[in-house]
Amino acid sequence: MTSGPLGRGRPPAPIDGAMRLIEAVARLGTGVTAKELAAFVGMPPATCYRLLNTLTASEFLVRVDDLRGFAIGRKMDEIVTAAVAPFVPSAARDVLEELRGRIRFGVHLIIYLGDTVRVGDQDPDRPLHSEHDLLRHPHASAAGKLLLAHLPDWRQALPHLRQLTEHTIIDPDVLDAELAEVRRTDTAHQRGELIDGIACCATPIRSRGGDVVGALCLAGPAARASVMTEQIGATMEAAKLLSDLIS
Amino acid sequence: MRMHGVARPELPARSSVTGLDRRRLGPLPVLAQSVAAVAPSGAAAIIPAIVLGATGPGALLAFVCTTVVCMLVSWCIQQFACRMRAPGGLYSYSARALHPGGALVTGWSALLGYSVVAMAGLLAVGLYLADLAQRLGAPPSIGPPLAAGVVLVAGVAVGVILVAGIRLSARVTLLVESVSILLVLVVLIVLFVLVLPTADLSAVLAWKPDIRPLAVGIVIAISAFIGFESATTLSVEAAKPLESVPRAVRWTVPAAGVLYVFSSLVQSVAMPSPSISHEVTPVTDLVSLHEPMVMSIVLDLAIAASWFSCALASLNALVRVLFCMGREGVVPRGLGHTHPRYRTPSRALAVVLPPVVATPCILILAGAQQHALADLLTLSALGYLGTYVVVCVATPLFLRRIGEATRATWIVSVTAALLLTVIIALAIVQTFSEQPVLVSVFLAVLFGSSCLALVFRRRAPARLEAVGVYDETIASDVSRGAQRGIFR
Repeated sequence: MTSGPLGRGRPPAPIDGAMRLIEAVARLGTGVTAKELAAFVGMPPATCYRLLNTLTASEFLVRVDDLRGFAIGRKMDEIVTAAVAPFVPSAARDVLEELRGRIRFGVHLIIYLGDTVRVGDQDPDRPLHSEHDLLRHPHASAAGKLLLAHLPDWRQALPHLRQLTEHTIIDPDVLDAELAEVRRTDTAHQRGELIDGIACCATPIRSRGGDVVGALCLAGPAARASVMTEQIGATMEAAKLLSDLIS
Repeated sequence: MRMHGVARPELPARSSVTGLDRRRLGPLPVLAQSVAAVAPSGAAAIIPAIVLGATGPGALLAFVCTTVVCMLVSWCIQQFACRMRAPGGLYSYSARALHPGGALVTGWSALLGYSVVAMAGLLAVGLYLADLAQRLGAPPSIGPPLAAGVVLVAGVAVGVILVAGIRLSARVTLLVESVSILLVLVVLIVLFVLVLPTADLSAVLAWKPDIRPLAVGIVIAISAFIGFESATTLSVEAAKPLESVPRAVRWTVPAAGVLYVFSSLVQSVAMPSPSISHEVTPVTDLVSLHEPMVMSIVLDLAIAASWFSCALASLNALVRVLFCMGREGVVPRGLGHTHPRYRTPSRALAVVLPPVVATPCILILAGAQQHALADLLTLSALGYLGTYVVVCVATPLFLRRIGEATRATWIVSVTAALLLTVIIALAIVQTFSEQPVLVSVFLAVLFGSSCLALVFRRRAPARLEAVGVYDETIASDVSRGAQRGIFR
C-alpha cells in the first residue's frame, strides 16, 4: 500500500479512514480529486473511493467540478460550529456588566445557533447551575422556550419532552399553549422546571430582520421569582442594546 | 498537491432540475419504485411459464443466470447512482461518459421502454380484471369492452396519483406492490404444498446443460427483471439519494430473482403439460386445476394490482426522463415544467398519458388481447436492454473521466456489456423471426433519435451540449465554515 503524509503504514479502520479523508479534503481544499486524496491519506484507491461514496451519501462531503472533485459539505458546519465558542464582542460584555451591577440575579447571554441553545456569556459571580441540562432540554428552560416559540415546527426539533422535575411540562399541547403565550408577551418563564428551586426568565435579542437570534436570561431562586419578574423591564432594555450590536 | 487560492468556477446558486419536490422520500418508497417497475408478482405469474415452455427443465438455471447478469448491470448502475442525482436516470448517466448524441439515443430507448411497459401494465390490469369478471359469471361477450373500460379508469387513476405529488404516488406504489407480492407468495407456497406429495423434484432440478434453450430462456427471463433501475429517476426527490437509490437498485434484482426461481420451481412441478403455458394467465389456470375458486380470485387481484403499480412506477420514471429532456431543450421546453403546487412534472405527464392509455384500449377493442401483452413486454424489454448496454459501456468511461476507475470496474462492466450484447442480439434475432414489427419499431426509434441528434448537431449544438442535466451541488450545499455567533 502507498504511504502519504497522513499514512501510518497500516490499513485504517473504516471510521478512521473516513475521518482522515474529511481532514484531507479540509487541508487540500475544495476540488481535490479522489486520486489525490487516496495518495495523501495513504489508502488503497478502491477503499478510498468506497469511503468517499459513503461520505458523500451522508453529505459530510459533496462532489463539485462536474463530479470530479470534493468539498466539505454543509452538514459538517453543525459539527464545526459546536466546537467553536461563540464570539461575544466587548461592547456586548459591557452591556452585560452594567446590568449585572444593577440586578441581584444571574445574568446570562444565550445565543441560538440553528435550533440549538448555546451559552454566549455566563454570569461569573452567579454561574449557571447546569449548562449541560440547559443545552439538552430546551422545553424546561426560559431561553429554550423562547427558541422553541420561534421555530417553524418545534415538535420536529424536540420530539420527546423529558420529565426533569415535578414541574417540567411534558404534555406537548400544554407546552404549545405556553409557547403561544411566550410569543404574545415576548418573554419566557420557568419555575423549577429544569432544576428544583431555580427559576429563570428570558427576553429575546433580535436581528435587524426581526428574527430571534438570542436571549438575555435572568436566573435565581424560585422563591424570589416575583422579584425577578419586576426586573424584566431593565432586562428588555439591555436586550435592545444588544440587538443593536448584531450584524 | 493542491493548495488554497486556486481560482475556481463558482458553484451555481440553483440546480438545473429545480421544481421537483427535493429530498422528501424515505428509503422505502425509493425501493418500492424499483420493485414496482419490475412488477415481480405480475412477472412471476406470467414469465416463468413462458420460459418453461421455451427451455423445459432448464428454466431454473435460466433464471439463476439472468439474476447474475442483472446483478452485474445493477452494479454498473450503482456506480452512477452513488455519485450523482439525476432524475433522467440512465439517460443522464450515459451523457456523463458518452457523446451527447449517443445519450440522446439512449434516452429515447428508455422512453420507449418505460412507455411501452406502462401500456403493458394497463393492458394487463384490464385483461386480468375482465378475466376475473368472467370467472365470477359475467358473459364472455362483455369481456373486451369491460377490459377497455378498466384500462381507461386505471389510466385516469394513475394520472391523478402521479400529478398529486411524489409522496402520494410513492406511498400507493409501496402499499399496492407489497400486498400483491405477499398474496402471490402465499398462493405459490400453498400451490407448492398441494403439489409436493406427487411432485418429481429430481426431474426439475436435474442438471442438463443445453446452451441453446438456455440462451432462449435467458432472453425471455430478462424481461422479468427490467425496471429495477427506475429508482434512479427519483434521485432528486429521495431524502438521501446517494444512499437510498443505489441500495434500491442493488437489492431489487436478487429479491426478484429469488421470487422467480421459486415461482418457476413451483410451476414446473405443478404443470401437467407444456400446452398450458400458451394461456394468458397460466398461474391462475394452474391454481384452478389444483384448487377451487378463492385462490385464483385472490391471485388475479394480486397480479392486477402488481401491474397497476408497474404502470404507475414506469410512468413516474417516464415523465422524469421527459422532464429532463425538456429542461435541456431536446424536446419542447414546456415538458420541463413542473406543477407549481404538487412539484411533479405534470406537463410531461399530460403529453404521455393519453397515448399510453389509448394504446391498450385500442389493442383490446381490436381483439388482439391474447398476444398483445407478450408483444408489448418484448418491445419494452428491447428498449430497456438498449439503455442497459449503453450504461455498462459508459460506467468505466465515466469512472475513468472522474479518476475513480479500478480494475474491478473494468472487469465487471466489460463482462456485463458483453453478456448483454449477446442477449440483446439473440433477442433481436428471435423477435425478428416471430414478430418483425416489434424489432422494426425498436430500430425505428433508434434510427429516428439518431437522426434527431444529427439535426441538433447541425442546427442547435447548444441544446445537444445541454444533454445530461443532473442535480449538481449548489452553493448552499457546501460548508460555509463555523458559525461564530450572532454578533459582528
